[in-house]
Amino acid sequence: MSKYRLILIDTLILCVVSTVLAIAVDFAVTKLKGEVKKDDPIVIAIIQANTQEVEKLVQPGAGVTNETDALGRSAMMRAAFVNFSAPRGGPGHAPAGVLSDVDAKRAGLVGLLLAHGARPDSRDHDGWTALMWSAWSGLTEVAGKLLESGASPHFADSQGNTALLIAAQRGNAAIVTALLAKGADAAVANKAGKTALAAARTGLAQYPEQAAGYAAVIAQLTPAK
Amino acid sequence: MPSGRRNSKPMSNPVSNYFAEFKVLKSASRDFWLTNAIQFFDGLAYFSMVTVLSIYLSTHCGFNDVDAGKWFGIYMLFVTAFMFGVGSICDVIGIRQSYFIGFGLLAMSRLGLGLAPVWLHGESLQWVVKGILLVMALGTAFVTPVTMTSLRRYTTKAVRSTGFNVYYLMMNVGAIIANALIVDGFANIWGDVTGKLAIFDFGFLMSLCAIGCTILLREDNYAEASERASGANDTKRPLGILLEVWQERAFQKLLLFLALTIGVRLVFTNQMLVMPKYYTRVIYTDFELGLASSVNPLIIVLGLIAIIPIINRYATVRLIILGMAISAFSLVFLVLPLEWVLRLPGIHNVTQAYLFIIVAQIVVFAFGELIFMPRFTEYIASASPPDKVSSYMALAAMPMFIAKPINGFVSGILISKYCYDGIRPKIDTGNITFGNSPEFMWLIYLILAALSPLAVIALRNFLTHQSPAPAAATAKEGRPS
Repeated sequence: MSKYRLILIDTLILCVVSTVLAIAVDFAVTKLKGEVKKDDPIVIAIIQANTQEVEKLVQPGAGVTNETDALGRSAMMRAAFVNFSAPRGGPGHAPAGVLSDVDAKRAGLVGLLLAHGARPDSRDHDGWTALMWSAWSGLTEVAGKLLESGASPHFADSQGNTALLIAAQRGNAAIVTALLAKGADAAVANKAGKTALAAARTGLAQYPEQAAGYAAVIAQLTPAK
Repeated sequence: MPSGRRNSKPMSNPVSNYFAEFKVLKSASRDFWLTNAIQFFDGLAYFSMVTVLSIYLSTHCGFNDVDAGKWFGIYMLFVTAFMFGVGSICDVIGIRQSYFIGFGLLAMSRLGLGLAPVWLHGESLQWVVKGILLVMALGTAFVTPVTMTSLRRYTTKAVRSTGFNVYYLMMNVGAIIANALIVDGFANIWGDVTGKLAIFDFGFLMSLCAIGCTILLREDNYAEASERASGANDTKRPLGILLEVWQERAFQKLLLFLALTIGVRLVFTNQMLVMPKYYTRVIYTDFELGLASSVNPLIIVLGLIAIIPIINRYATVRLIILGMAISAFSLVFLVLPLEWVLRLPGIHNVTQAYLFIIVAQIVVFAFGELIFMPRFTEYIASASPPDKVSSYMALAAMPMFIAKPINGFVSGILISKYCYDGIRPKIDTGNITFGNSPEFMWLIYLILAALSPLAVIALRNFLTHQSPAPAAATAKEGRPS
């Protein structure tokens, strides 16, 4: 029994040393880095497409709807972003497979956030709006919902990229259509001197497997002769 | 320059040479194979779990990147701490009891991680998960040392070395299956969110399988009758080992060597801590994480068969330096500015550029690990006085004990700054400069990793002076190589 006692005492000492070590490192890192802003539970609920939880979290008084993370991103921007490998559809085609399912779910969540006072045009530290995130992600329904709610297609990020330029660069034809319908300016060039049309041409050269999407974008952006 | 030939077998057919060695295991007892089955089941659960743990903590439990890294680091810290203490407890309570306790804890904790995000949310979920991680660390600490004891007990001295080789092979085969089939398979069947939870539920089932095998184990089966008596007197106080050796010159020298290798060994822990998030954030969320993670154990298995017999002919320290240098060099691929990679023939876009550098890093790193890890264990054994090999081996974890939590915290901070969720769109649109890019994060790790081989080269004469000659046989008996 005394053998057990000594071993348990030593184990306890090791646990205390480990805990002290973890606390010391935590303290030192916090001092160096400063308090790190936590992700809101609403972001996790959005990622998990947990509508019930989002509904609970956006109730009046919860105050999380327009909270931003360390990079200045709101819950709506997170809802407007996915990064799937699923191929994007061409003109008149819904995005394929997984992406379309997620798009429908996220559009519902974006609608919920908008209904509870989320600002559609808030911008992150690089100047991106939720519309830009959806334009990159190929979330057509989300982009539509944002545009319906009055999100502006005219903002540009710190590099001069507009939502139209980003959607064109990614070959997201349906979003380009929606943006043009809302008056997005196709002549705007980013700091690298690229217009939406030039970005779509570069995209086509880089991602030939998504030729359909890029061809549709180029067709929409090419000035009529 | 070869320092001496230690493997005189003809190398004409390394595959048949490697497997011919296993014929001696025909005489191994049923308990030996049960131990391997236990290890295989646990390997499937463990390797699939560690591949997704950091992502699970963020996307399912709401830990930000810093907290996810911190708690992964704390989990690893407590595995090491508990192992110091529990190793001695296992010696007292025996193999079966240790396995029952260990897998009981692992079954509960794996099931808990699988179910907690379904029932709990927010802060309460995070506190429950933190508690479960500590329970899981305790379970892992029970299982790991007792597997070594078990393999030793159920093999005769004549087949022990081969027995450990089989164990090491099975472990890596388990890692390949866990990553290629379980991680990716579950994601394909159940999707990204439910698929990850299912991995923990699968871990629970594997723990039950391991418990089933443990029921069949015989505690009193000693392959070497002489070890029955000595085993009972071997138990030591965990801290007693440290008190016994800490003033010895050889131990201090070994500690220095181990401290010097921390930089490159952080790269090994980063394969679990940083890589999963890096892959899924710079390429795409549904990137075949399991497939990428299975390349490393696959190369290790192939290397064990084809390369190890050849490189075993070279000096241990030389191989350690070479292995460390190759492991550190693998990070160079990740540091390359994307514009440079995009200029390479056949690479047309950012996704291809990242795929190229990731595959290159995985392959080169695996070769480095293949050379470094077995020789590293051998070095510790050969640097220890013959009567204290076990004590030195146990304490060899000390520098990493300190480095693990620090790396956990630092990796979390670096990921949150240089490889956050949503960085890919910003890379595509030119919003990320090199100083804010994932490549810069890897530059920091590269500098740390490169210090290890350079420091060992600089202090090589001091480290090897008056050390006993490398003893391959000792190392092979002490640990799997």
